[in-house]
Amino acid sequence: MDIAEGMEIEENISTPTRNNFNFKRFGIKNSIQTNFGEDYVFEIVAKDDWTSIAVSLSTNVVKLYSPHTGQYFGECRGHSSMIHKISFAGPSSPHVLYSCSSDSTVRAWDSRSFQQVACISSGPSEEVFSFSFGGADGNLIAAGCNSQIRLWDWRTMKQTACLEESHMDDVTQVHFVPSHQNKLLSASVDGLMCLFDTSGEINDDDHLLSVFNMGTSIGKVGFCGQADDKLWCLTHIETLSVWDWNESRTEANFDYARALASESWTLDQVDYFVDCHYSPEEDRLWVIGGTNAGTFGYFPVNFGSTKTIGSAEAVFQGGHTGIVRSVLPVSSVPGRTNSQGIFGWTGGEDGRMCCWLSDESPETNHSWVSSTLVEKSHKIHRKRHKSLLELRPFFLKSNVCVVMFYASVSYLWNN
Amino acid sequence: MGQNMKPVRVYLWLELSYHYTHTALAHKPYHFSSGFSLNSFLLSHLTLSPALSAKLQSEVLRETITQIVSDAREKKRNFTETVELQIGLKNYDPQKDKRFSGSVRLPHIPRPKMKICMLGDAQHVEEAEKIGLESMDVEALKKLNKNKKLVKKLAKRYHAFLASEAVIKQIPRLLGPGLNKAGKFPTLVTHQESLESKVNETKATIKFQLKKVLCMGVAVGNLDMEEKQLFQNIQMSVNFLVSLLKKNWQNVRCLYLKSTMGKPQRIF
Repeated sequence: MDIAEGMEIEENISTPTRNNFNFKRFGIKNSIQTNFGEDYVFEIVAKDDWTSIAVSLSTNVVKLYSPHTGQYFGECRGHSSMIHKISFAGPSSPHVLYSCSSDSTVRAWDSRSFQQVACISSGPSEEVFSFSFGGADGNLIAAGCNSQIRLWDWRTMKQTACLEESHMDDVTQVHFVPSHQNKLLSASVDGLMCLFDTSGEINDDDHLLSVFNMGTSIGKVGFCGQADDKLWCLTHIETLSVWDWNESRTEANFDYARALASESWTLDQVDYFVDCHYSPEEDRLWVIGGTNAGTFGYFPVNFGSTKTIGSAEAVFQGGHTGIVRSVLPVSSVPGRTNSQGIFGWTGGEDGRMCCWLSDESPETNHSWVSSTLVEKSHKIHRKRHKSLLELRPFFLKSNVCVVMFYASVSYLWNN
Repeated sequence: MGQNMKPVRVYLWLELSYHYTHTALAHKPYHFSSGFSLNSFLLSHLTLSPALSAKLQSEVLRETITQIVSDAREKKRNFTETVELQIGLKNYDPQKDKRFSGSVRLPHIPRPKMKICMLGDAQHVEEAEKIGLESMDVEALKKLNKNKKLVKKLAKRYHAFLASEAVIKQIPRLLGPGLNKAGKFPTLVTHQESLESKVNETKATIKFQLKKVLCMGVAVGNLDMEEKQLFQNIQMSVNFLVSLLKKNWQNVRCLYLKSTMGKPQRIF
């Protein structure tokens, strides 16, 4: 496509050629290089009060940063193998950070002193892929291992149950159901999701309530719908489905989810999905799809009477250069930002952490939509950078300074 | 433009036309080369050559399939040999990178002798009888009394299970986790779909999983299938698996095809 065609489309800005590509653009505010090798950022999680964010890296450490300034606080070292999940404890112990790893442990860290304060061992060579806190009395921690699910009372650190009959391959996810804390959901590489009742003496035979067969290896699950009565499920072959776990029924099945998402924006092929986000306020579910080059977007998922993946509502370009592994929004509604206009933080296989800023001024958004994203060509990147320079030269200058500053700060801290 | 060019031209033509021409034609390459003008050669060369070196080449695949089939015919076996696709990956870290694991449905059934049992409601049991599919109803399942040994025996008798909506919800209560542990929890069949097509779908679905090492094998067919069916199964599975890799073909180090008793033949 040449420039003449691009200009034609620009005039019809109010009536886009295809679906309603009415989305929000986000620009980079900060970009922190967390390491200088071939290492990945796996996950970013925030403390309840947002005074710090924790980042798990493929170097088996967890680093902590300030989400507002990007300042590096410190790191928690101790795991001897891949970290699969991190999470801050709830408001009851706000400074405690939990992590689980392939080294068969679930560890607790004090995020102020970066020291390990507790360690639960799941048994020799039982990799831990996921953990969740819950139980009827809030005293249980469940962990998904190599085909086993183990439960401990975290107050006494004693193991209360070991469920080893319900899965025959790695249990990649365990979640206590948010509004029904005595129910535990597990998902595995064997393609099954199991729902357990965790009250009393737990065993596979009597406490297995339901089994949902996805038919293929499951990567991530989460809850959505009013009263968390539905669950979403992302598989390793990049398909998505939504289930009603009470009725044991599939609400929607997107076998060609990547193709559907690719059609819902004008950018490159969607290669994978990072996660799903649900907003309880708006009762809407989004799936975050990305390209191998690092661009990603929020695609709304409709699983009611019509089952579709809608047009991208938020697009994030120019931040990552590799696969995006984690997206942490400040608010549960994409597009909504906090008082400083920050959308959130993301991390990926380029070892980078990016902080995204929403530009609220309407004319900026409009010109981006018309000139760069309606036209599908190699010229996209060049044009976009041009428009960025034309419209917001001040922002870019300060951005570059900020990036260089943080890059040097993190380099000094790490070495 | 000398002798060296001829094979290349023929090669490109075959790449284009495999799906349209009979296999017989492909065995007579030199007939085509004389029919080509210089222009058409250059055109096809320009459009196809970038893709050629980067991907699995149809001609190589077709020839290898023929080779494997003829090798196997030389020695008679007492069973139908399975054809396996072996994939070696590179530039991929099984620890850091996203898991490479899942199931994919192939166009042609690779293991037709797969035994399936229908755990059905009244309607499905009737349908199953009509198509010669073994089945059990809720009463029969209740008779197992959640006995672990009996459930294990049931799991061993079949390769896979199907279940009606009304029955599948009761399985944890009727049978406990026995089928889970055996990796044979049933797949749902609704009354809106044909039971026979669901059976075929189950038989045509293969599992693949990369564990700690960078190679894996998948069963993609058997020697009772036509060469064309083998070709389609292999091409489809290769394309699907490559689409899940972040660097696509740059992540593939090698591809081999092998029949159960034969030696591995390289195709990439």
